[in-house]
Amino acid sequence: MKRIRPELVKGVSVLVLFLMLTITISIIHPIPISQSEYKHVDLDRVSLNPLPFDELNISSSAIVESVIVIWPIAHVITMEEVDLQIRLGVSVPPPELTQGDRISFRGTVRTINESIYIVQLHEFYILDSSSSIIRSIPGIFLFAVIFFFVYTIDFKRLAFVPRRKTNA
Amino acid sequence: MPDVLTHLMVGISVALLVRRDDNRPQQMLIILGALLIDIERPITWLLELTDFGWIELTSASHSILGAVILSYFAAACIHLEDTELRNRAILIFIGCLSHLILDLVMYPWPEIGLYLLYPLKIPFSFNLLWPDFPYYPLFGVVTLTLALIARRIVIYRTRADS
Repeated sequence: MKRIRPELVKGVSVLVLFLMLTITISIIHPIPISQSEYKHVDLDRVSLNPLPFDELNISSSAIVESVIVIWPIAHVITMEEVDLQIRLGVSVPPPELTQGDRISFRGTVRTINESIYIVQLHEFYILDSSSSIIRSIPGIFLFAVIFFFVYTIDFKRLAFVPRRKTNA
Repeated sequence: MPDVLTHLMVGISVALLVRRDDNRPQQMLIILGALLIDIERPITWLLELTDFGWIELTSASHSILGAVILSYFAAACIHLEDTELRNRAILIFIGCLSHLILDLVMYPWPEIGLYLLYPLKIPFSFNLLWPDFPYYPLFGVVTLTLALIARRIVIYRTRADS
């Protein structure tokens, strides 16, 4: 049986150790330490008990259920039944949001009582990961073409090797 | 994050400037590095589908430590007669740095942004553009054009001096 290249063994070992470190850190220290003025929280946590979050600047994400505009406030109702409020103005038109849009937002929690609260939005962003994937396909294809123009797979060495000698 | 095409064009730009001797395999290492960081994307999607989305693979790979580890691993997967493992890893790492710098341009929510010093969870960002900014490829084209012009000038000057 042929031995696997020591370089490859070392490379795989280092990668496995790194993955183990990542999993360990994800377990023992899962909540990001925030240094920005916005605390990233799960909206469900706020819904359960909004009082500790009163007047707190938060960032989170939610799925839009509906948008109701009662000038000058646009109410973005989320699937989590949270009322995200946007103050409209001359330069702030009603948001172009539709049901099912996933948004990331920043805002301030304002509690009205122990169970009712709103989030006044400072800014929001519609997540559109599908467009990013579609735009990435030509890049992945082009990279594969360039890479395999220069390299080929050497199954004996279990490595990518150049197709021809270098110019240098 | 900026799309793969933009990362690719920036990677090619860096490769053209760093390795001006047209050593294609070495240039390709830099280009590989420019995309390598995002290798976690398909794995992350799979993890999310299988309820293992809590593993912070994206944060881990988009860091200096992640770049070093991935560069070393990728360098070990490539065999070049004239380039040692260490030098291969350095070239790939240069590409990784271009990726990280480009990702820093984004306007992520910094509280869940790029942890360059991972495992220290201190977010970094230049806060300039949205992740889905549609003109990122244009940014890549401009970078590539500037790199080609800069390369041409350097080569011209080198020839003139000699």
